[in-house]
Amino acid sequence: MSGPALLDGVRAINVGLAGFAEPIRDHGAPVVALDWRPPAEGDAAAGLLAARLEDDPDDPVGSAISAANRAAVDRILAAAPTLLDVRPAGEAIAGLEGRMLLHSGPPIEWPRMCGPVQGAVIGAILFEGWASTPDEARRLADTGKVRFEPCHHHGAVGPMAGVVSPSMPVVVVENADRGNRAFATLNEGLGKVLRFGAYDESVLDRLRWFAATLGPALSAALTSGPIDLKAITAQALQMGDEGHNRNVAATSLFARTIAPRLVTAVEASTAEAVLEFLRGNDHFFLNLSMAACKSAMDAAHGIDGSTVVTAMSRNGVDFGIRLSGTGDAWFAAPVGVPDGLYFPGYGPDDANPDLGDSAITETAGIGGFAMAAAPAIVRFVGGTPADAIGFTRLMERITLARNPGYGLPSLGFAGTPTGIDARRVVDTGIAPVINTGIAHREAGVGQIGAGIARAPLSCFAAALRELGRRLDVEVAA
Amino acid sequence: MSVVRGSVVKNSYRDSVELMAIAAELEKLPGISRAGLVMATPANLAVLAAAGMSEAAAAGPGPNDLVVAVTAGTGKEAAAALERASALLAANVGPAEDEAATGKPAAQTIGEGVAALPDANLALVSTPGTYAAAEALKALKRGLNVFLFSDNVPIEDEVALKTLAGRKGLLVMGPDCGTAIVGGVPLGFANAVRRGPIGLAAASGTGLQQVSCLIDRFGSGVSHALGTGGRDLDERVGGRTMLAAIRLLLDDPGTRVLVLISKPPSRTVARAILDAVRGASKPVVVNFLGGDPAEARAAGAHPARTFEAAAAIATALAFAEPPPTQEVGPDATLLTATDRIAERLAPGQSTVRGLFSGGSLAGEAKLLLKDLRHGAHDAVIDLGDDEYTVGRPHPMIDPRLRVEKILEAAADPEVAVVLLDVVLGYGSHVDPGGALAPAIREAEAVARKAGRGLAVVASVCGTATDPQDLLRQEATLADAGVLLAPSNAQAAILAARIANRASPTTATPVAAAAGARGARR
Amino acid sequence: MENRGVLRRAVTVSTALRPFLGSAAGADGVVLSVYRSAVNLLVAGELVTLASARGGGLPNGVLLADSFEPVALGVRSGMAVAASARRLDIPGGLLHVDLVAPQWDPLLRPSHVPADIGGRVAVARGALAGGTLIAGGRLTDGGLAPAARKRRDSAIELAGTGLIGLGPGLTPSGDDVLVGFTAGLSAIGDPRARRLARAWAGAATGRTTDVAVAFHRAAARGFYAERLHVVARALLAGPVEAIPEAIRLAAAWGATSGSDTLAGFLLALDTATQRRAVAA
Repeated sequence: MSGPALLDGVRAINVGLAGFAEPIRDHGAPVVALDWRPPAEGDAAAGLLAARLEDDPDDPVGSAISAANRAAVDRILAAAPTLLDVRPAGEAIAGLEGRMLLHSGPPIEWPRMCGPVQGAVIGAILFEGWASTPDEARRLADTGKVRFEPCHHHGAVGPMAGVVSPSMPVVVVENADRGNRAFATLNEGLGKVLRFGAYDESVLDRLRWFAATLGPALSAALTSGPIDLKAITAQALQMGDEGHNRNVAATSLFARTIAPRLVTAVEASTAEAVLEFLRGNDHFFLNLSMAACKSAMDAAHGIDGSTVVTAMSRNGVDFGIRLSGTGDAWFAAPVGVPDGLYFPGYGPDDANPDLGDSAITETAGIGGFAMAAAPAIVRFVGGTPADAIGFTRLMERITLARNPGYGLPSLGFAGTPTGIDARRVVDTGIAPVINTGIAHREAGVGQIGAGIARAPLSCFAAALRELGRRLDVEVAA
Repeated sequence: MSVVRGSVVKNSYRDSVELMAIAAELEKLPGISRAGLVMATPANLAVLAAAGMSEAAAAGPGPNDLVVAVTAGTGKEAAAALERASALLAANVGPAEDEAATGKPAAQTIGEGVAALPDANLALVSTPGTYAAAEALKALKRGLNVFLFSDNVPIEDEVALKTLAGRKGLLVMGPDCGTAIVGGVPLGFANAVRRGPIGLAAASGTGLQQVSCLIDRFGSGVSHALGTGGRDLDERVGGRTMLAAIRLLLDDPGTRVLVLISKPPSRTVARAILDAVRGASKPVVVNFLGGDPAEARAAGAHPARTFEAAAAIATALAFAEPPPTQEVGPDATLLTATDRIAERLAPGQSTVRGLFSGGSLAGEAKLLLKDLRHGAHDAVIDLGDDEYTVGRPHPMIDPRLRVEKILEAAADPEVAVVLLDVVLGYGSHVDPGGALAPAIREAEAVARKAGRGLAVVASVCGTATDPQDLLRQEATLADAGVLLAPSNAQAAILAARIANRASPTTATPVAAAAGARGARR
Repeated sequence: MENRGVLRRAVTVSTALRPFLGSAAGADGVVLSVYRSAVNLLVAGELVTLASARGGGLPNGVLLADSFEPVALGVRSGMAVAASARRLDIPGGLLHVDLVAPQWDPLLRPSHVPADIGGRVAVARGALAGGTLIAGGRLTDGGLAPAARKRRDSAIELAGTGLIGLGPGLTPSGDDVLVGFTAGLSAIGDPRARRLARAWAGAATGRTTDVAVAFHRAAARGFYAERLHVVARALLAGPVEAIPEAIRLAAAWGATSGSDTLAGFLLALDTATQRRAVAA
């Protein structure tokens, strides 16, 4: 399985005191000196658990985990997300019934929700007509008359507040490899928008236009056949997008694809309005990208023993992750304010802690993981193109594969690092990088900056503890 | 002649480890005997001055400046080293830039290390003990043998690691394994020992060093010297690594003779080990310090009471000669020297003060002195013991504590003999003899001033090819008036002989004791 | 100040810096050194450290969010710094720090010394494995340990003065040991803490790096880094099982600084152990 017998010649890896490598090297034996540092930022118990869960062909647990991870990664790489249709959420998403709203991130109840999410909830209630004034809407939520569930529990994802109500149109993305579907709302653009918690008339009007015009128009355009989303993302990664915070190339490619279909499927004035909306919204493709990623990650979810991360998400209060091998459990930690660049007139004091399901893109291996494709993004944290490549290289160290479908020009067309292994996150102490927008802490102000967030390491250690329990591995050290 | 040169980098702050790494890098350059990079604080400048390197700071730097100081053979070599230093400092401006420049960061985990060296077969683990078990476990799971230098690993973890290694046919040397030699490659604090047909398995670090160095001195060599860690022969661990090492060495075509070294193991573990060598295809020397020779003999093995005896018997067996029936003793020149030295001692000087850096060497000396010096108030101190290393470096690395203790002994009117071990090898002090010699001279002067003599007896554990050079070390010590024995055991015998001479009332004649030992063997 | 670059909000600001930053308004300064997650500034003659909150509070520290990566931002030593009571600006590094933030008090207050202090110190020593320049190798402690064990104050002061500036690095190992030592004395309410710290702070100027001088001065006012507060709590008040974890976290500070500081801290606690032994 590994190197030659010990007594036939030392071929060494030096873990610890650097001086020990020198005499070995001086005697002509090959030696790799590790830049070792304590695993899990010094949490020895988590480090030992990660070691116990390492691959090992001679051990039932170690071999089960490696087989499970292989299966999970195969499914992510084989995923073939295609845009089938745009339908009202209540019709497309099973279980979204009655007075129920979906939200981003791990589960959270109304009173703990942050300002932007509460604002979006009020907006959604008004949009659905369950209440006629914001106060009434707030009372409805206060009195428990509205049920809340995470988008992630319904195959859906939503950026920022991520609020989905039954009448909102959602994109229906099917993973042609395994037939599973994923959903996301339509992107509203910047400024006063529901996903940042705004709910004034302009916001509700836009949602009404989505339901009455944009959704049905896109649906009509799709009757001539589904659109291959993976192909669009693959091209966009070579055009300066990373699929999360920069979507201008993918949105343009999508517009180019949908335009001829629109003009034949709907009236000219409708087509013009739809295309004008796409022209003015660089981030339109983000929601498609998210649904595509969700369809890949759901396919990889639920494989016993797998340490592959299948969801990373934030609700503005908690950061949560899920592992393929730990079922529906979430592993959460308090979420921080992203590090980034603010629009003029705003600063960190104004920022809401990190928010949204959009980290599904990083979970699937694009976004922050594909930073090398989008050097423009690192300028949000004052970085250089070399730093952008550095971020992608860093993420290679916590992932199990490269996605051959998503080549990165600046890395010689090597694929994006894909399949986050919670063991490697714990072992290296390298937290996944997430590109993100920064929301104002008050509902409705909107986006005030953009930057980079890092997933809290404690989520990954907690997830491994649960996986260890499920596999009967000694967890407490 | 050597030259000292220096350069100053204004207002430069660096990590201590980074500076030490650069210094180490410079010391590898041709002609560079010493290099140091320190902030130019008065305390650090004093250290430079003490090292004869004050010229390096001639520019008058302030405490916020970094001084690069080198001692070199020629001015040209010094200039090259300073140039290299500024290149290394420039390359280390920040970790992010460093990584960007090299394109790929250094491997950080064992998994990444294996990716860089796919046919690796050994992990050397020297992390703090808290993390060591996890690193060893990851290494074993990847099919690597483990040299586990770290200590403070719980014994349950040791048992678990060794059980897993057994299942995988791998070896765990350690925890707390200080030294090993595998196919001529030194691991940890090992000596540069000639290669040859003798294979060692040892639960004692300095025991392994002493036996392997003496084998080298006797003209044979070592195939492999496998350490097991000090607790391996504990009842709970059951000698798992010792047993695995015996199997490896019995199967190894390059090994013709085996030597097993340990403090006395528990009875059940001893039995298991002797069972493993019973009827072996190769001769086996068993060197269980203070153990029962009859049991070893009953298992068909050759018992050896001292490290030197083990080396002598193994060497004879390697040359297919009959093993010596009598232990090697000090030769006539040394014995004559003891008489001369003893004459200089004053009445009342009657005890031996052993000041050791090697634990097993101290143990061996203690046993021999007990035999040869009935009832004498000798003191053998292991300065490497935890009691003395709390808040201080190990005496093998830093001789200062020993220097203090030597001077203390010189001031004690009862002390006749100071008995020392000097351990060479990779990782040990660069010039232990040179560091001890001034103190020894001073000690002799102190005693002389008080109207006494002082005998200093030592042995140097090392080889001529060690970085410190055995011959140079012995010459330095002899120059300082030290009576040098070729082995630790002989040094103890000489010390006993001098002390017995000095105070005949408490003495057992050394010749008789040696004879008695010979008869017992 | 125009809003070019990155504006970061401080997470906490040491109360020790408050009066100074107030009076230094409008003062200029310079970036002394840049680390992976910390920057040392010299503002109006005082050291101010901007650091990631991960490492905990510093007596002279302004803490920023965990992801603070000054090297990536382009902050370099020698860059100009402008200070006001509310803002620190490093225009060359495109970095602006909003100082309006909760305060953190660096004063290390004495705790009751538990009866099992000897055992606790032993547990701590066991967890402090390797890494220290003085305790683990290469440098002598100049007689501080024997002097401390014998409780000879003048000898302690003298030995300590000899350690100032000894060893490589931003804060030489000797200075780390001394700061740890007086922190340990402060934690057990030993009145010698301030006196020794003042003596060493007085002796430090010109004998060690500016950063180390700043730590000595803070110690003279009873101010210590948060990681030392954590160690003090763990050693004197918390459950024994939690001690190794606290030691490990504190030891992870810097290359050898953490371990050296701890070596000094534990040495100080030895004196408490002896006091107990005498009392018993």
